[in-house]
Amino acid sequence: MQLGCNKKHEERHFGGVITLEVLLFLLWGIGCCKVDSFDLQNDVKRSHPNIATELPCSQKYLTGYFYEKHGRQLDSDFLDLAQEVGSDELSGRLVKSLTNIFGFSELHRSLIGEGSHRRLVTSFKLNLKSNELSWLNHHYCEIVFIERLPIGVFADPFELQHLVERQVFQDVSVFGDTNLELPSALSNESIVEVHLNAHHVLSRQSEITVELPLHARYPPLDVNGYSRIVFGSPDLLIRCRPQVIQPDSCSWTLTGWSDRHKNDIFWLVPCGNKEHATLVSSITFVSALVSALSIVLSVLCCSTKEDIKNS
Amino acid sequence: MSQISIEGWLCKKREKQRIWEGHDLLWNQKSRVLTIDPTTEMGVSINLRQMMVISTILRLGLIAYGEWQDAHMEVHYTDVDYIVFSDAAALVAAGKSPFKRSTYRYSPFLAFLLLPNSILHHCWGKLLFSSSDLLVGLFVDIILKLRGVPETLRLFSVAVWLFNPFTFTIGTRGNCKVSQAAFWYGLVVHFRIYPIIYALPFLLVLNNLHAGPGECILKQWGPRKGVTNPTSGTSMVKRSTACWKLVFCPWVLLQRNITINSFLFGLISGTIFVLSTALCFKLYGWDFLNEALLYHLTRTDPRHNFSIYFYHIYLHHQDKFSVAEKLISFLPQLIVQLAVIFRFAGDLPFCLFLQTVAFVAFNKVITAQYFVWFFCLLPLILPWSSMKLKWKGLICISVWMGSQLHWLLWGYLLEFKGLNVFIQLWLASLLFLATNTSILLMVIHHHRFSPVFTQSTTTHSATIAKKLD
Repeated sequence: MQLGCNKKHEERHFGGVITLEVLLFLLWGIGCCKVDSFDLQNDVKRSHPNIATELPCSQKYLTGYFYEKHGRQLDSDFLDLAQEVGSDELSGRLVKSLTNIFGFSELHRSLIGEGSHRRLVTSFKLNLKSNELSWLNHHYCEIVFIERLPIGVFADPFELQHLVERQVFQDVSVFGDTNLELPSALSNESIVEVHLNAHHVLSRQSEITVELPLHARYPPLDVNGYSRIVFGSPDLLIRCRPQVIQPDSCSWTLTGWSDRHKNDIFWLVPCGNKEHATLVSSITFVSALVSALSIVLSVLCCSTKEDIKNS
Repeated sequence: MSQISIEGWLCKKREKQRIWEGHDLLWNQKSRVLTIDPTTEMGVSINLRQMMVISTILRLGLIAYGEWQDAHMEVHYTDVDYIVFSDAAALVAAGKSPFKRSTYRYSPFLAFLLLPNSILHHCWGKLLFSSSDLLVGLFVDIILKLRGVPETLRLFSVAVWLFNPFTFTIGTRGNCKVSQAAFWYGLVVHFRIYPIIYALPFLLVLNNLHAGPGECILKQWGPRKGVTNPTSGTSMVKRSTACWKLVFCPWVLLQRNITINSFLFGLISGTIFVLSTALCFKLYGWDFLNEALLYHLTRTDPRHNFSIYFYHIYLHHQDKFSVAEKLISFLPQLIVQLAVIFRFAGDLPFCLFLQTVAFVAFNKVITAQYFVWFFCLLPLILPWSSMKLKWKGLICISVWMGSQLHWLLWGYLLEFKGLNVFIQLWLASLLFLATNTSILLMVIHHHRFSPVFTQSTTTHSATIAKKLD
């Protein structure tokens, strides 16, 4: 257990290092604020140009790929790196198609439930230009949803895997700190990457809902009684490859959007009060000792009584 | 495990046993008059076979219901640990390490046992655990029969196990805590560490078996205090009292307590433990050792649980605990264990029961599944308790359940409603400890000390043989 803890400490800065959205996406859309949700209503105006890139087909997860490739060694200049990777590896025609054909809109976020186990619900629309259906027929596309979880909450990889088995998601994986038991003070951030089959989504309806079951960790101590956990925004991507794959030259082309302005969803988690520490510890130990001594005394008295009776 | 050992010892003493079976008959006749409340209420209209059949149907029904609830309701019937075991078994089936499943903190043997979960059906494990429930019921009956307990009282005790709502729901929800009791001691300690606390009373009983001049025989149940064999009772008490003095002289204690039997017991169980652990270590390396063994020794969980220590641990989780703090929290646990062992080791089932209750009550982490650890021993001590179901027994059960429900209420508000009720929850834990302690004292007060084995004397046996003629 101790070994595990040390490892987690080493990885503490992992979440800060891998800010994928800078690598892959641009800021997009201006939403309107609510207490625990916000909307993105505009899918045309973008505050920055799209950043797009290509990945080998063997790379199943984007998060894993960038974590392996750049890991902890990177701590800044993501934008430069993204541009560098992008300019080297871009296949201009497909990227142009992707950005012209698809668009996301009407992003809604909310946190459902009470207590330590809640669901983070994100809904958005995938827009497809109607005259591009034939293009879609020649390509296989997936929607990739990336949620960076703050330190105070975690997603259970095995619980998510069961959602894959029930075909709620095409695929899902959790990166970073996947320890399900440690309190926030001894934990790191984690990233959930969800894949959805774009063809299935479009065949049914354009609105997509991603519901992530999340669990709160025990927060650090605070005199206020509650710890506030704030969620960032998810990254939305679409990646496509030709339906017919060339084994040696297969690559995903992807493009994405994200909104990093809003931190509107928060979760209040009850936390312990440091001021209670002395009192609680003293009473705990005294109670344990009193209980233990009463049992010992009772055992001794029991012996004495039986000794007298039997003699 | 203890059941198997006792059975083993008995094989050597079949001849003596026949005489005592006659003795049993005498007590059976008397017990029609002297019997305690529960037996008269229940009557003898049901036999063990019928009871087994009913509890099998009950368990199968619950497993089937569990399938339905899992498919149709948001709150699942299946225990979350069962999903962990099944995932680990699936990993083993795929040729991977079960420890790749986070929170799998058990011996790999458990994952091996559940391999059919992936191959045959995912309910396999539930059937296995429920069968071991029934096996424990059977063991309870065998042990009580060997100790001369009348049939009605024996069946009542078996029913206390088989129809205990904790037992049958935990088994059918797929929790495996029960099955451990059916394994050999060395293997059991490898499987789950907690039975290590039974090592000392086992050794003490083994020593006492060969400490006297006569041969040892199983002491039979008797309805009245001090009738069966007062001399052996006195010697056992005196021996226990003497043990107190020995606690402070470890070397004398060691010398007095090493006999060939206890040495062999230690050697065999120790070897089995080391071999099984070595085998798993070879298969899965440090993952196994850290998760299945070391984790349980160093476990300090800051999250809420029935233990009085949870809030203290949470309030200090950002600092490191000093050695002194760790020792202080271990001290109450240790003194209670020593007191119970040295006083009651001769009455082995009672000693194991008290040890387990105390171990759980003073532990740093307590969850509801731990209660099964002592529920499986409860039927073995009931026949020697003078506590009547009306009303003391019912009061004890209600107070215990009440303090647990009180804790669960605050636990629910914290976990499922997100309210800051840490102080209330911690006070509820203190109340639960107080309840456990009071009930333990009540149980001790009403228990008739009855050593499992006693020294046979020719005259005593002859008297009984004469009576039988």
